[in-house]
Amino acid sequence: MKNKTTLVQIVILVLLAGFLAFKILPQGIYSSRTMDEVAQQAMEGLDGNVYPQRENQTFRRVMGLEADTFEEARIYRTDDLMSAGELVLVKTDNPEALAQFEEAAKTRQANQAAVYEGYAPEQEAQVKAGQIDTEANWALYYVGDNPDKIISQFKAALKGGKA
Amino acid sequence: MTFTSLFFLFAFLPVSALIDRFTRKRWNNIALLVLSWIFYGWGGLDNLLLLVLLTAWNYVCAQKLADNPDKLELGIAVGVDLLVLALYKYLNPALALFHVAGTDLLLPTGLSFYLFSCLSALFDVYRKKAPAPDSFVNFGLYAGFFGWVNMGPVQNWANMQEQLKSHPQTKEKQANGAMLFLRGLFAKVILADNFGLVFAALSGNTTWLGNLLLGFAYFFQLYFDFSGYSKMARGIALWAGFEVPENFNLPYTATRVQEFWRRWHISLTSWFREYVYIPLGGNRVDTTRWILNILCVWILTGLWHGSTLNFAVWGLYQGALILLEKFWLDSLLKKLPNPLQHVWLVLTQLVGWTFFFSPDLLMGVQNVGRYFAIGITGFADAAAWFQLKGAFFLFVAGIVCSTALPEALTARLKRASGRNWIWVQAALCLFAFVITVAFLTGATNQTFLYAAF
Repeated sequence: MKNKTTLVQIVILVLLAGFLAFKILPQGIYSSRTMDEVAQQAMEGLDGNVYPQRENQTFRRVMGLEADTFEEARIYRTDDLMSAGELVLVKTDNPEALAQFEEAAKTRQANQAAVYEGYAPEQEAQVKAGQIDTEANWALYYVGDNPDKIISQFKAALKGGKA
Repeated sequence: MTFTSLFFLFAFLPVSALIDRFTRKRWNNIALLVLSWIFYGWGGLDNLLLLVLLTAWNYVCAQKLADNPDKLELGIAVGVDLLVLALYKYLNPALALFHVAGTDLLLPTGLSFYLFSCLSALFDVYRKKAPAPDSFVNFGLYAGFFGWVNMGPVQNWANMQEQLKSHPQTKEKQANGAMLFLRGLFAKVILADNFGLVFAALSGNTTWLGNLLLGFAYFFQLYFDFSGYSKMARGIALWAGFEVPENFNLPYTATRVQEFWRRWHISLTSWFREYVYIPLGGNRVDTTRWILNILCVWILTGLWHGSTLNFAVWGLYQGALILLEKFWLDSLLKKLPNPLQHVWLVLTQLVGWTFFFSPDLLMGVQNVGRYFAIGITGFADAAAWFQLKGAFFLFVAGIVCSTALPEALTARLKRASGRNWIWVQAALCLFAFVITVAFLTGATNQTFLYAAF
């Protein structure tokens, strides 16, 4: 009986340790590259007129988050409401801030899809195809052409190599 | 899912009540456990997995301790619990100190509360104060019942274990439970959330009046938020047949810090007294050791609330106040009229809570300084006057509801309405519920403050 209880104890402990290890071990890419380096490489091939860099106020309006929650935050989008394209990049060591960003990006994506629904099918499809990529200390939200290409450029930028 | 979400109020709670009502007695705890795990799993399946693993761990360890009350076994059982708690609470803040990327360990809601309940079971079984849990279902319910899993009250195994075997639901209990829940909901939504709006509007205000109103807004918000939640938790528990002792007993009516802590978050202070303070020797030791015991308990209480220096300082501050009262101030305070003794309590706790809401220690010190006109940018600005006028009645309501006056008025109304009391009460409850739901459907609803601890 005693041995059986000890065995159950060990099984639970192993499961618990596995669970915690999964949470503690780094998920995704950790990169100490600068925002300029990552933004430049991730956005390679994008039209600067469609994705001009905007100020922190736009970041707050679009994402519903304060830019100073993050170590660095940057947003690229036009004022043209009929353009769905936008790219948002954040860098932070705080996992809670990254989780907040991911949640805000999902909310933004759902809201934008609802805005375009019914009268702007192309933009709606583009928003729905948008990508959110969260790495160890970076995150990207992108809506626009070739989302897979932008994501792979982003990952390569974090690693400091070519896509 | 929180108690103030419309989904909880209009879907989860009524469905749970129906399931519970029509479940046979021997299946009752299983039904409640399944409902509780659905409730908890709503916030993320990984959180639920952790709850289940920790419940299983503590259940098995309690069984082992009952067979063999060995110090090493107890140390391993408690050590694992504390290690998990420490990893979740302190690893990311510690990594941030060294500018290292944080992990995915985000503190699950209620971890500090349900782990302390589990630790109570381990200690009580080890000390033979209570038997080991008789079934995993009952223990799972003890740790994770949806009424108390998110924000307590922290449960005491010796007091609760008999109720887990039999918790008959009577009409009286259900009516009282519903009433308690409603009172808590009202305190949270109408009082706490509106004080939260005043607090948000005055954040960063550096005038004397603005800063003082900011401090008092938080002072009342924290009280109505957490005491409101505790009433709701006790109400749900009572509806399910569990009688949970009260967690708040009009703490702001106290005149001493020591008395305040016998009335505020009673389940946590009782936990620390029973499982830390008394095993350390309590007051049956020499004076130096006793002072160390008090400070040790209060630093731990501070660290339970958070990992930053603010919380450690807050804990030390509370411990120091208690010692100060014991050695010097008590005899002085006794000579003062009662209202002045009360001012002492209010001021000390206003200063204490300021460290709770300040982002760091330096800002905490600056905010406290402004109460005494140090570092202010003026007496008041337009925002401060606006909030004073706009929230004047809210502050009056806050003061009144922090005393026993509402209870006394209710008793008087009950006597005056005689046999019609049931109708008067029903009308009042309906009115309170409609008003509360109206606020909830608005944009003023805010999350519970203590969920962060």
